[in-house]
Amino acid sequence: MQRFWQAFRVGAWLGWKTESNWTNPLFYILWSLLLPMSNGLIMTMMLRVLQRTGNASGADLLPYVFIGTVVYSIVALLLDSMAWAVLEDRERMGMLKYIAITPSSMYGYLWGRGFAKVSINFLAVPLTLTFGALVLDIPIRLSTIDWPLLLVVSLLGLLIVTFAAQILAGVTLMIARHAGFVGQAVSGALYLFTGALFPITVLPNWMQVITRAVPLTYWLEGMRRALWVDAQNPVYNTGLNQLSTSNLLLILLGSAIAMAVISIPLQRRAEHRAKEKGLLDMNTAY
Amino acid sequence: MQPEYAIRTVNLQRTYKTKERVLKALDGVDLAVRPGELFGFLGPNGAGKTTTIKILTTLLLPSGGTAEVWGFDVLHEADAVRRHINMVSGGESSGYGLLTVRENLWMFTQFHGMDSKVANKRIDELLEVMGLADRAKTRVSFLSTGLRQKMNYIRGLLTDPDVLFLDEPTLGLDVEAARTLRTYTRHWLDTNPGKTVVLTTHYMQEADELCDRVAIISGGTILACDTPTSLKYSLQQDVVFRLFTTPVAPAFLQAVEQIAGVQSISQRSGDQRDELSLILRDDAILPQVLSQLANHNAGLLSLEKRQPTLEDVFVNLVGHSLSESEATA
Repeated sequence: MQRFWQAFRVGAWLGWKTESNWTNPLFYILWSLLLPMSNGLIMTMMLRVLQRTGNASGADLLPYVFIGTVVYSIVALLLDSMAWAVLEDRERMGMLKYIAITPSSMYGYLWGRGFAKVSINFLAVPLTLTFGALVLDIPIRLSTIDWPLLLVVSLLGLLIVTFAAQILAGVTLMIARHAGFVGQAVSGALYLFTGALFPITVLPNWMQVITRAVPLTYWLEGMRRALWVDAQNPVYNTGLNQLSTSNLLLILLGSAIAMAVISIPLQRRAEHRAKEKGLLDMNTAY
Repeated sequence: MQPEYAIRTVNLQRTYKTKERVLKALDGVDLAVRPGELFGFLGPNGAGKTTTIKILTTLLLPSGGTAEVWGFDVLHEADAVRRHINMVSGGESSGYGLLTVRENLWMFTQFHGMDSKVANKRIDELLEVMGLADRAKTRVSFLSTGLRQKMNYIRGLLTDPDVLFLDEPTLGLDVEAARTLRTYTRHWLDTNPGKTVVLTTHYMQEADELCDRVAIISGGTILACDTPTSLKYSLQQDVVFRLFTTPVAPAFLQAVEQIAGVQSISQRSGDQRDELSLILRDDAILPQVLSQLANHNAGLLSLEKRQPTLEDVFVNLVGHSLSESEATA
């Protein structure tokens, strides 16, 4: 455990240095404000167009879509972070082999890199939500947020995504080419299969089955319930409004445990396989 | 506690399988390196030097045989092996460009769990030794390849490893930097009894100058392993000539190889002239070689009888020179 935290600390430090070093604080704050604002505006426009062309129930789905998309931005970042660290250290920096021969923990290091990436970009989430509440009239109010639920759901969700990211890092370790697309491909696919953009009831039945099997679907639902007081209103026909919050928490807890149980041996297996195939110090110049 | 062997391998094998073919990178390598030795691997590209190092540093799994570093099995006790080793590879531009030299070095001390105060003191010392003290706060992206290599060399020594692997450490370095690195490696060993260095190189002079023992490796097999002096002594009963001639055709080399008593001949082509290294069993064979030279319309520019070098040992064992091996690799 000591080796894990030691490596986590170094990974987080390196991640912070390399991810935040590209600009000065003023540009960083501006970037953190402009990015979510433009995202928010794009989403609003998209939804307004959709509401003119369909939506028989007449329900305003903007809060659903807005919260889902904002929270999902963290999923995409974290999911890709460890795989990207593997790729960058191995191919671009040529340093993965030197890290691999130290007595530190590779998992700890990768978790640290993921933590740094999320921390640096995390500011965008509350800023975008605030922007949504103030400018787009999204019904998020400090007084109505379920803070304990928000805390528990955030923690469980981040754990699930972190373990998933660890699996992707393992897959990246074993892939010689196209490794850079692993994280992006998975986060892209999950964007569809988590109900981030629209209620899962609009999907064909077979897609709904997949979506209901993805733990992140429940995370996004939990975040909506914590932030948006009206999230469980049947008028939105989200497909998950029948599920009680306690059951949703149980699903998230079970998913987090399952992901841990799956990802740790998978990562070990991937490391072993990479050593078997001589991929730890591979440089494809691709 | 110091083990009997810093490195020990028995019948070490490594095979790479692709869809097209199976390549034997190591074919039964037996090694026994004692603590305190500076052990060299000499061989052309693709001989198996780096593969051996990768296995010994736990980066690659062997396909067969066993390997131990500082008494620990690389396969089953990799974590224990890692506490005793470090590695520096040459000819690459590794390093986190956005970090300063000091930050890059400090980071690796933390992977090894070193106390920050101790680490910084050691970083200062080594930066001074390698002439990089004034670059401590420079971002790595602003360093030349040679300076990055020096930084990487410092990284290898920072953790005071029991076994230091130097894989072509002077590749791409200028003469002065290469000399500094060689001198300090020797100094480090002399002042730290028991520390072991494994060096791979294809610079004959480097191996000759630095190594206590040298293994000549080719095609994944160790052809000879001894001190440079003993290896050269094995050719003492032979005579070694260096000839400069006008350019010679491959047919000449084939004709010379057919002469009884010719141990080996290797060619290094230059501008308007060739340099030939000739190992003969006896002086008396030389006239036959010169006669072949005339038969193939080549002229003799100069001829010198000299002491055998490691290059001659290599040619005698492998059948061609290191530069010829690399040209065909």
